[in-house]
Amino acid sequence: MKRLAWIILCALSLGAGQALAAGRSVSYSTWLVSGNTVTLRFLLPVGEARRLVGVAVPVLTTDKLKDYMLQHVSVDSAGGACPAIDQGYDLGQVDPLAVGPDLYGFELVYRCSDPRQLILHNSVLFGAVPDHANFARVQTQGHSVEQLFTAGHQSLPLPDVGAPRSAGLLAYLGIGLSHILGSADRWCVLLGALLLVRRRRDLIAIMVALVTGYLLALLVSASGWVLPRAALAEAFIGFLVLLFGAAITLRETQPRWAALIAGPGLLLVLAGASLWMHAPWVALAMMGAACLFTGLVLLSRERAGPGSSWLLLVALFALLDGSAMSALLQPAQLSRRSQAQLSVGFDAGAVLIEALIVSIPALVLFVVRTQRIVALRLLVDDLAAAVLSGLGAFWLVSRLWV
Amino acid sequence: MGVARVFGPLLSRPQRTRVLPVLAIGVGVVLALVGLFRAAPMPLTAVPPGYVALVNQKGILMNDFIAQTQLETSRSFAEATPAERQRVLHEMIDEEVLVQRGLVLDIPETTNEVRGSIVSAVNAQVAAPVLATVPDDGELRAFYDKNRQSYTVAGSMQVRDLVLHVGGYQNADQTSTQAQADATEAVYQLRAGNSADYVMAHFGFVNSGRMDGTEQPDFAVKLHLGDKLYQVATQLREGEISDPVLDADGMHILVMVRHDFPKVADFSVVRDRVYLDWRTAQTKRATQDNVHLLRSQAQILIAPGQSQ
Repeated sequence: MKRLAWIILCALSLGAGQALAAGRSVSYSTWLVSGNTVTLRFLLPVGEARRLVGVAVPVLTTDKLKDYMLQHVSVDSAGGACPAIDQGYDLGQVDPLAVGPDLYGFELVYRCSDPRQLILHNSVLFGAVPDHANFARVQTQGHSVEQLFTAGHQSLPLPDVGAPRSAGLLAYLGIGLSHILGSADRWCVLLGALLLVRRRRDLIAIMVALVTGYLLALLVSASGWVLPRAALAEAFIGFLVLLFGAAITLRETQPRWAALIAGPGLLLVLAGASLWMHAPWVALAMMGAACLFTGLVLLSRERAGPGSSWLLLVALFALLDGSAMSALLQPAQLSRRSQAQLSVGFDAGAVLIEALIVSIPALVLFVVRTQRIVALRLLVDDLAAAVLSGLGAFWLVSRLWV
Repeated sequence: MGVARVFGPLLSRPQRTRVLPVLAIGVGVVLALVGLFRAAPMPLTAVPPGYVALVNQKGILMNDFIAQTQLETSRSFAEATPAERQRVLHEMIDEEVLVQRGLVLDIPETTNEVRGSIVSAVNAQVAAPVLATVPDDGELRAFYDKNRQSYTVAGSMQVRDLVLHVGGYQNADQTSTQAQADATEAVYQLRAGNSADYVMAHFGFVNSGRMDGTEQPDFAVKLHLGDKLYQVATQLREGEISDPVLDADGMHILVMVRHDFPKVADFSVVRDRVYLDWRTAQTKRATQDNVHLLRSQAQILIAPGQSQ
């Protein structure tokens, strides 16, 4: 049984690159409407720009990106399409901005013959990344509203009088939904939690842990005091996936001293390597991971299983996942209120879809268990433990020094 | 005693086997969270001491504001009126906003005038500490001794240029060989003590007209005589006669009447020039050292077929 599990794990690891769940795909735009002139400032993370290479942009140069931008953003009005003006000084229609090493910035100015019935169009990246989201801020007639461009919402009409409507909670809910649905590592966390469920009340405990974690994340982001280190948080989620795999194994077997030493030992080696590479925060996180791993294994030895300690992992996952949005929103420079609204919508969407993901397979599991198909359950546990451990270790190491 | 009663049972079996793992989990979570989260950059909501204003979180120094006010009002800061100070601050904020906009548009990379100003400013900044130091006489004298040739005072000479024309329709029967022989004899006569007028009368030499018989600085003599004859003249001391020199218009004999050779000016005479030259040299060295350092730290790739 275990040999079969390891064979499948090895096969899976060949395609591990596909399982490399990418971070959230976002970009940012600011639209300044003044009379018949619309000034667009667009910020595109370098990582997102690389997704276009080979498909929409043959070679990643600023000039090629400028051409791509010109083709995928536009403004229409009652007088027809508004042309982007030549900004002089050999800049052309798209002016590149210096906005830091991790972002590409562009500025375009559209001049409309008729300032009425303005419609803003943005289709950047949606062809290559369907779940891409563009956080937009529209300033017009003294008002500033936050909006969202998605694959299903690529145009935004502006009223001739008054403020345009801002993106509602539902829009951000959709982001939270698609964020969980499109991330393999989030699925693995939920699968791991699901496989540790023994009683019906464990399902409720999972939901409570998720909600608690997301609420804590909201509190943290609302305070504005701390921000997550996004890349490191993604690596730690990989570690949590690994821990779930270990927890599933610990439920069936007594942990050996080798596991007690090897697991934390490897994490401490990673911590040492991080210190050597002048990444002290990574080292601290890995030391915390080693302590967490040790505590979990020791508790499992004591209680003959992980008990309910794995619920802490669920809450920790929710805290990190919910905090990710605040790090993503930094370049957008939104107001505290808008950021809070966005985070609430995102977290609510994540919780809703996670509840759905957890509840449907749980029903199937309970049906299987009532049939007392013990061998099937053991096979699933073994396979899941191997897959989760392998993928978790892969994500941890591959994302650690990004 | 109370503490021991509370914590004692926790630190002994069997509770210890549960407490320690829970403690490890707690410590692990705390360590992990400290490593995973960082302090968010807090925007400044009040102007810090030493600054007069913040523009997009970038400060305008109070010292700069005071200096600018004094410059624009031609009065001390205390004497400037509130309206004047407001106007100056308004202008400084306008300037800061435009500078920040220029940085966003990457104008320092794309505009030649701005690039030239930035280069000059960087060089001036590098040279400033060097120029702030005042050299003593010992340093200046050492610099003077090292560059003596730069402080030479030009010499002067009074020379007669006699020529025996060769060729042309007026001297159809005068060959170069004959002229050479006549000139050699004329030089002998002059060196024997005969006067130039005697030589001119007997050998047919005439005044070339290039020199007017007065004492002139070396550069003027060079201009009048030409390079060939001037090089001969520089070697002659007072009273000496040159060997015959064939030039384009005939055989020349130079008679040096008076010759003040170029000499190095005394340090006390040229001290100001030495000081200025010292400052220039220090500035040049500082800026060159800076460029070398920047180049050593830069990754420079040259396109194929090009070189620097």
